[in-house]
Amino acid sequence: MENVVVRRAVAGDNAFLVEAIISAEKSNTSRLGLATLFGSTEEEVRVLVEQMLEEEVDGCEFATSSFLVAEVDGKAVAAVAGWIEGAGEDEMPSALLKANLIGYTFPAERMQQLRTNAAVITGIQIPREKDSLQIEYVHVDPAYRGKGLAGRLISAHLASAARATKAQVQAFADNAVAIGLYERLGFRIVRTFASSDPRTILFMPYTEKVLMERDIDQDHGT
Amino acid sequence: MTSTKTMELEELRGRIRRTVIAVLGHDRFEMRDDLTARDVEGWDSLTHMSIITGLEKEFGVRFKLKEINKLKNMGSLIELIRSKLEPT
Amino acid sequence: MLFNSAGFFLFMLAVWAVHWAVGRRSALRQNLILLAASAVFYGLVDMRGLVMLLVGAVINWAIALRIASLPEGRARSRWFWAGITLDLGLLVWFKYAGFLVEGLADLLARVGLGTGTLEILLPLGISFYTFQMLGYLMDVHHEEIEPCRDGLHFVTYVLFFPKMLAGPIERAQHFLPQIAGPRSPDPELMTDGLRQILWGLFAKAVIADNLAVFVDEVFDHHTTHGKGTLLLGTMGYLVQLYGDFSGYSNIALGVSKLLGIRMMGNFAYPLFGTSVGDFWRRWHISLSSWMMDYVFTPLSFLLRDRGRAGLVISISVTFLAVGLWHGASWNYVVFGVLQSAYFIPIALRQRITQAPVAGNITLIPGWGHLWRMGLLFLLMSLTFALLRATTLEQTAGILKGILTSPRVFITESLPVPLCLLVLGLLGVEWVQRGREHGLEVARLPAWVRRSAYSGVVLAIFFFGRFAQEEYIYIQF
Repeated sequence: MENVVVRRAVAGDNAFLVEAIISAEKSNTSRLGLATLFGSTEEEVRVLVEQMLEEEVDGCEFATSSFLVAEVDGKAVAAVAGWIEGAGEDEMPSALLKANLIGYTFPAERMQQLRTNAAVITGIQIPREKDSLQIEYVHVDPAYRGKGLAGRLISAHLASAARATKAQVQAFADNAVAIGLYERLGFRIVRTFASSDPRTILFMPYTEKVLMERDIDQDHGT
Repeated sequence: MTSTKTMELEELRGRIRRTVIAVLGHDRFEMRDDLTARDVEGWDSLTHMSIITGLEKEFGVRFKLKEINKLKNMGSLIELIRSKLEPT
Repeated sequence: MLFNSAGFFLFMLAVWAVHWAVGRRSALRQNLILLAASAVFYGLVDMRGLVMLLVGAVINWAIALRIASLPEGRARSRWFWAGITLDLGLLVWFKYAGFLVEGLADLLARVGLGTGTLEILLPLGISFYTFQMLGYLMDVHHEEIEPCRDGLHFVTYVLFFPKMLAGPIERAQHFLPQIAGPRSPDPELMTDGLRQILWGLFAKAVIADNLAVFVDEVFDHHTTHGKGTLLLGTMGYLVQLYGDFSGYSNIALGVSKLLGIRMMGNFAYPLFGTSVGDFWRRWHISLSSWMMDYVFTPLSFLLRDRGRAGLVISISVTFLAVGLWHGASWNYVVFGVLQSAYFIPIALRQRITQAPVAGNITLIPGWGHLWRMGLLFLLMSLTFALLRATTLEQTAGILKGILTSPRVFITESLPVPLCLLVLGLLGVEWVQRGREHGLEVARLPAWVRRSAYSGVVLAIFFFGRFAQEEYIYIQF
């Protein structure tokens, strides 16, 4: 495909990034964890995610700076987030950054709801390894799928992962398409995480996640 | 003044930690402010009640259900106990 | 208007069309349309009940506002207890007065003073909407949520027709934010809703209603059947109940999705549960979580000084409430007592959260897993027979028959095609047990989706019973 430009996301891409995040979170289901766990609606969550992006907290999945965007004819059509875990000067884990962002942005009533519902995501919270490259929120606009855009963006992340020797990506266990894509890019499933609470399915797209890893060859960045 | 406060805080944390260990039977958790029940193995709705009771006995305080329900994490629990211990 | 009727189908089509065409970008219009539709839905069956419900909803809304406006103290408590008494009183009066009065009448009869039995018509959905309002009052009183300031929103929430007849018992804090603003049509959500409705229809019209014939025969003539048939009958009843109730719930959830509103799921494949605790996190989730949050948690908190005794009492009261929620009969009491008897050892001995037996992606379960599921299924089949049998004597009779009847099978009464269909239901749900419902197939290849739809539609067409059978749970 010609005239594809791969570049860092900027603030002007935020609207598209929100779409990417929501779509990736829902993973082809009607359940948006960021909404269901908090007793919120998708409409409200879209607004909140945009607010979180505007906070510019680098080093986690809710940061514009984490995203690489693929542009076709001047329009952003694919996005993938990637960051080195714990690379900031305080070495904060991204999970903590994310939790603080959510706690700060979401209204108090929503946080209260999370406390009630929190038990159902026990077990599918996958720890991220420090100093590894984290790949998250892989999204391609439906009209541009099947053209290798996601692969290009992930490869771009791998190539520019300064000091990381390993890359990690998570996927819902039943997402054959995503798992296949990652496998073609050299990732292998290393562990499965399952929820011990059957009610998880009422809140999350699926009850199980897989953790996939690959090494990063520093010389070639591939 | 500050050193006594820090000492008190450390002592408080220690006693809370020991209470939780006594109920859960393991010490595989850190006393971070952002620690939540789901970060700790075995801390579910049943053991939660035992932990609350244990803490009440340990510190000689009494919680209200409203207060328990508003607990976000270990930090807010420590804060709650502190506020209960303060002489009014 | 039952869900599996042509009338409902037309009603649904009309509401859907009007809601999106006329409602458009206005939350006010959309909510008014929902409210009007719900009022029509209810009023067609029970006009007086509708008036009582509307009045009750408005009163609860007002009381909640009053409670929230008062500081902690006597006045606030008084309003709270007034609201609780009103809601609980209504429920007790309509559901249990007959039971209590009968008990009293029984007593009087034994002493020699006879009285007539009290006939009170049960308003539709009363067990469901009173629980919603009770939960709401408690949440406002405990400052879990802000009271709803908009009367229209609250009444729309209480009357929302998909959940009116048999739940789910939807929490205010989950529902209200969704109708606070305008909804825009989400084609993916609506498609998912349609799939869910289709699956619910299959479970109800094909599985449950066909099983009903077999189960009725076994239960009503249990003295003539052999142990094998009786056992199959009790197991069949559990599957029937599951198909009926989960089918209804799926249709309700699907209809709601068509209107852009997501309600809480009610079932998470309970027949694949591996322990009693696991079962109750999968079966009638809106009720069990309601009982957990509003009965067990406050009670166990109140009794926390009594250690294990307090825990045992809390569990017993909670399960007794679950049993009694179904209605006023000794069967339900025994049901509750049994369930707490099963659960107490688990609660005392270990934690509820156990490691998962197998992930939801593995197709073939291990032997241990199968064993646990089978055992639980057997236990629950025998226990749930209490909900079907009309008297304790009948239940005892059936249990006795299973153990002592000389015959084993009467093969003519075993419907083989039905067994295959049941296996089909269980098989599909087993594969899909990591997903929200049996037909959540958006992620699968197109040919799989189309085969699934065709299969289900054909099954409904050929085997579906639409003879206006009642939904079992409507009577509760």
